[in-house]
Amino acid sequence: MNTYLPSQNDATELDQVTRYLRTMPIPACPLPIERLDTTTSARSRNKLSQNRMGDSRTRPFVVLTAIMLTGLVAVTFVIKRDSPAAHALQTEHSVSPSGLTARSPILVEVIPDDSPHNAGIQRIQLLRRALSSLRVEAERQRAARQLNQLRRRLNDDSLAAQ
Amino acid sequence: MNWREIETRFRQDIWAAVYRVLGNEQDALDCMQDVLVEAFQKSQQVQIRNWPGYLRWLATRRAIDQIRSRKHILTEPLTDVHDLHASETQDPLQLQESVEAVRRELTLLPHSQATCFWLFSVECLTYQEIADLTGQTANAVGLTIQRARRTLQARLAGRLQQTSDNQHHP
Repeated sequence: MNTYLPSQNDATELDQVTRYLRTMPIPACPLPIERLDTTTSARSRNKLSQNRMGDSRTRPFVVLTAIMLTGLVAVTFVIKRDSPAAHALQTEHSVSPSGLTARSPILVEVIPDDSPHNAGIQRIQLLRRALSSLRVEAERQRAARQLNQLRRRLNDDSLAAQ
Repeated sequence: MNWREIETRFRQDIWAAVYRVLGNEQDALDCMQDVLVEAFQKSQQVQIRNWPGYLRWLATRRAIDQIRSRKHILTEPLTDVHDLHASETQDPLQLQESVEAVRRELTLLPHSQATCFWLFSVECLTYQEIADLTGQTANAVGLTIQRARRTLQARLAGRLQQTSDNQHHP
């Protein structure tokens, strides 16, 4: 531990700040131990996985399975994309949203309203937007309160000086 | 020392280091999670000799990264301002403003200067400890800290001058 501590007399603003930061009250860590334990369990999972991968007898089988799975995922993706149920992307001619010109075909994403999944996503997005607006508003109000407090203070100081 | 032991023993140190740099709990929590994951990964790859020093260095570095990436500095609630340890020579509000100014100016310094300065002045690591962590010589660390200190002092003085000019010529 270093012993650099400027005396009170020659302390600059920077020294006062660093002294404050060294001695500032720090709240107890709110991160629960259980959350930290996730890394430990991740480690054991990793170790297990490494052991599996490291076994030379099973490695070819693992590689073959990985290749087959990748192929299967790719085929599923292509089938889904080309299926008639894929209505997610349509041109403006079939959707004709208001305010768009008919000059160029613009791709518009259509989200069916009846899907509970999409409704959930929309609700989450709405809440997130509302939350961010609230945050901005809270910050603004907090700054305004702080400014008023400073103004009052300055006012009191100038009155006291008079 | 196994990971669980390291985590239990030093979690408050990591928390304190990130909290001092960031100044608010939510950002500090995010940063602490990142630091824990990174430290854990490092512990699997190499042997760390000085865990407390390494964790403080990593926490400080990642916390500085985080304030660099902030789009704006958040204002502090007045309750926090009143809770400040009042310095004998400075008004708590002024002190809080200076703390924020130092945090802001820290993001404008080169990364190694900012980290070395903070580790020495706030986390109280020695030149040698910082040198071991950053791979520099102790002399180089001393020079880096002095340079950072001079820059910060000059910028803070400039800020005060600007404030006083604004008061005289609103």
